[in-house]
Amino acid sequence: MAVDRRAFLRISSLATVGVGGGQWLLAAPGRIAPEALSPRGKSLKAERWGLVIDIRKCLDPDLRNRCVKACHKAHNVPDFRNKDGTPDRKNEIKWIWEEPYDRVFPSQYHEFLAAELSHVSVLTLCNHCGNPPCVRVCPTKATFRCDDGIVAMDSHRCIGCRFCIAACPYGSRSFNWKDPRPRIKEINPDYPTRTKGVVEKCNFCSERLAEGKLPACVEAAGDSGALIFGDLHDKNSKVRQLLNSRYTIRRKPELGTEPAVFYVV
Amino acid sequence: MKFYHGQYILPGLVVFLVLITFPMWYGVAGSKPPFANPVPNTAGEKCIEAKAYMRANHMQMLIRWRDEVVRQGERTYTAKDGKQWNKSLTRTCMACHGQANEKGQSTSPATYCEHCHAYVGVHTPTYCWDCHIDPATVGKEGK
Repeated sequence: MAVDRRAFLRISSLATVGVGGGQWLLAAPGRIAPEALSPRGKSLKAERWGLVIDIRKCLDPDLRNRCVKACHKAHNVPDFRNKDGTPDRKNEIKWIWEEPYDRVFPSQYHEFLAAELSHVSVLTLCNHCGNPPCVRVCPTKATFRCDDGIVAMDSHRCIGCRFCIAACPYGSRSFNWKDPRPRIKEINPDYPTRTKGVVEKCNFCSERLAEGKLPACVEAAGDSGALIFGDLHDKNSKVRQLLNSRYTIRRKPELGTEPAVFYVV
Repeated sequence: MKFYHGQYILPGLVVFLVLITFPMWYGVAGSKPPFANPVPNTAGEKCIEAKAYMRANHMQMLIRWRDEVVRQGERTYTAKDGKQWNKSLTRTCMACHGQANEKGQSTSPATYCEHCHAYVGVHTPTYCWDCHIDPATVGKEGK
């Protein structure tokens, strides 16, 4: 049978429609109905979450330790140690940790600084920047900024390129050089661990906020007033009241990253 | 039109057709490997959706849940019967499909998933359990 060009085009276009329509029909039952989506429950919500850390109320090493421990326990953060028991700095994973004042605020430090401040250890964590450099450099959008200002990670998409570690000016990100599971003392079954080859960091306890709880570090600090958490856009929030009444500084504000973690000095 | 070498070509074609359709008629005529449904540890209680729906859609549901929880913070799933569930692999799915019961059913998610996946020759993403916690193994891995 001779098929001319016109007939060939007619048949092939009909076949394309047939195949395309057939695929759509086959795929339709596989879709999850949109009504399956539901509203959020009793979770805590904010336009932008922020944290104020009062350095002078954090002078007690036990308090700082409690905050770090609570966070690392809640999120299955491993504790890598050398054979002699000292922290293994190369493999270290940290979400919240303490750092000397001059390392937290390098541009604020000078040799005549009040003695009580110059040697103090300061709690530091991801700043959940308004303009996060880690988000800008991530090639897979594994790290992104949520509507509530939390800079979050999707470990499923992290390819371990570590661009974000290079981009973060605060050292808030850690890379899993080794499988963290064996180094987790007590696994919290309610939160996943990470795997070798992904980056991790503080998530402002978004999983706890969803259940109506405050972040683990804030809860651990209790009513000491050392850590105050709340909505930066809510004029009546404790965070805003504190920001109104006390002078606060942020880490490396000159970089334009717009941190959401504030320090009362 | 004359058909040359028919005595070779026709038996050759028959042999060719038999060989190329071998997988099909072997599957129809041959015995299937035995298959037992994996049993969740709370046998009798219902899954969040109908069994047929879950069989067909669990993979889309898991991927959708993942993106909604991680990216949009949408953590509640309303099932077709109106019941609400926490979109959590560990806390919701594995509550039934994870831990073993006294009868040894559904010993761990890896075996529960693998049970069907291996049978139908579908790749099981075993790396799920590199991060997500199989409740049955908690306390056995940490040092």
